[in-house]
Amino acid sequence: MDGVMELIGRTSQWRRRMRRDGTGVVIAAWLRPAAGAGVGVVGVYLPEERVPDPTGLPARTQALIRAVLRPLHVHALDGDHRLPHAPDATLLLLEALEALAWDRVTPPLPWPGMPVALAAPPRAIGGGGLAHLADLPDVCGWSPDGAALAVGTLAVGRAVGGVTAEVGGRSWLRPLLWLAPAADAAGRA
Amino acid sequence: MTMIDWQALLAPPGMAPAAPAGDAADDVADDDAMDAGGGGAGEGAGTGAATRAAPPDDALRMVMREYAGGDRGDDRNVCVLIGTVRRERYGPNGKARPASATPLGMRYAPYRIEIEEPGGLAFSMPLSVSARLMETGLFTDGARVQISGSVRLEQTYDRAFAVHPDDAGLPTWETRLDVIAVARAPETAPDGSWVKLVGAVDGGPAIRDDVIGPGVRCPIATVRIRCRSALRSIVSGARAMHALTTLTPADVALDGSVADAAALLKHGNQVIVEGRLLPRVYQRRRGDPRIQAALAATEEAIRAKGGAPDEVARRIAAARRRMLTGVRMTVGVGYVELVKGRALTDEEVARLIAAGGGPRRKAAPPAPPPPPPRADIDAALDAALLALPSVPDAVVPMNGGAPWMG
Repeated sequence: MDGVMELIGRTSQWRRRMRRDGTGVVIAAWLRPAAGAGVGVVGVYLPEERVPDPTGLPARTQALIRAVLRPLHVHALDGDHRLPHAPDATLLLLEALEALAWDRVTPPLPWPGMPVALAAPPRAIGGGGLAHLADLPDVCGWSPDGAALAVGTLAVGRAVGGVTAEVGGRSWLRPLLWLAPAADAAGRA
Repeated sequence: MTMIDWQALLAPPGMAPAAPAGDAADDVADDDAMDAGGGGAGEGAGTGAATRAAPPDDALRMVMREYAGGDRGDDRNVCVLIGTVRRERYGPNGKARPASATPLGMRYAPYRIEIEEPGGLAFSMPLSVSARLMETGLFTDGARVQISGSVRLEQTYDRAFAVHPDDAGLPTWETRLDVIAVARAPETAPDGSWVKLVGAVDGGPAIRDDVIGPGVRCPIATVRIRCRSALRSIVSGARAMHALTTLTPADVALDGSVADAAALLKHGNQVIVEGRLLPRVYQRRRGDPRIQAALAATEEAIRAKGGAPDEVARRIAAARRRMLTGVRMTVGVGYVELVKGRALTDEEVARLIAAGGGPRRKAAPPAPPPPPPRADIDAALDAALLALPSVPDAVVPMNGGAPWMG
């Protein structure tokens, strides 16, 4: 969980949100990655004490986010994507170390990925498989071809992201970790 | 800013100097210009006939002549008031309150005007009297004056709700009379007021029942009239026009006593309203956190003074009643003329009374909808997942190329 990843994408407005455990406030935004190890929609946050001036964060623009995978539950605000099993909350996947306006030149560094273990047998969706992960509650592992989810194989998370859907007037979020067989990851490295 | 001819004002109403030659024709021309330039959205059109109407009395003519701008103004917001002036005092010694300074550096002396109408209605209302008007010498305790000006809503702070020395108090809207001209009241003229508003109905009505006897109620609609006047430059011949928009509350009885009252019940209707100033008693919302804080502070202060428990309880109850009851001046409508728009039908008025008001009445915020079934959410998320690219760029092994660059 300590590997630093870089994502390039469009950010939403940065807003204050309360941690669900009551330990403080974070400044968070939704990121739609266009490049880097991210797909779909990802919640990104910064602890408030590290942001002396939130207006300086790149909002509604292409940004380069340097972050680590450190999921955090926060109370959802109007306009947030919510968790289906906790409608008042949402999950922000990435703790940003740095958020900069992208200069449209600098490429994102590749993410080495992280090994994961499945918490339950996968569920088949289309040609792929979806499974809960042991170390990342509320995050689903997704393998588009299902190859990474065979029982007994080692899977590696290669990209973070999420999908959203509008149902009943609200937007719902499924945080995801794209999985690949460990062999792919080794070959890539 | 106001150029006032004091010699003319101090003359008895019947002895007002004659208007210069050509004044009537100029009035018509000015009103036409005002309709074209100062009417603005939905207010200028159609009111020309009203503004061209002859002023009803000397007082109105005086206001029109002396209105801000120096030479001429309009009669879209006019109030004439006859009553007795009282300097506001406070404290057990009856010490006069000092003049208050505005942020713009002007000083205003706090006065009230007491009005005792022949019909038995008696009330007083605050006046802000500028230093220039003070120079007339007419504002002395007990002087009976005729005041002309315009009425408008102004936000003030009620110091009774201040909970600490630096607290300005509860923000509240008060109907103010901007004094434009003042003269000694004729001996024979009774106390009273007359208001004329030419403007548009702003928002929907708030309907309430006025209890006029045991079990007998009269429905009253409170509406707001938005008047837009055009101020001309102080320099003759200048082309600049400055819009002055005021909002004035008006109460109209819906028991049939006021003809065409239904014209006031529709937002956007352009109307001419005549009436008189009336005090309206209302109850403040006790759920407001600032009011609750002030009530708690008052109760604490009363308890700190001590006394018999019954006496303390009585004093607390009286203080609560006093603080929760507010009075606001409003225009009691006695005449309505629809200039442009549509009056509600009798059926629509009946429905409005039954519903207790229009869109100004704020309903409680709707409860959040219950979350949809979990299966529906999961199915939608599954479909969204399958709609994503099967193999995202980030997962494709990068063989020397950057996927986002194509």
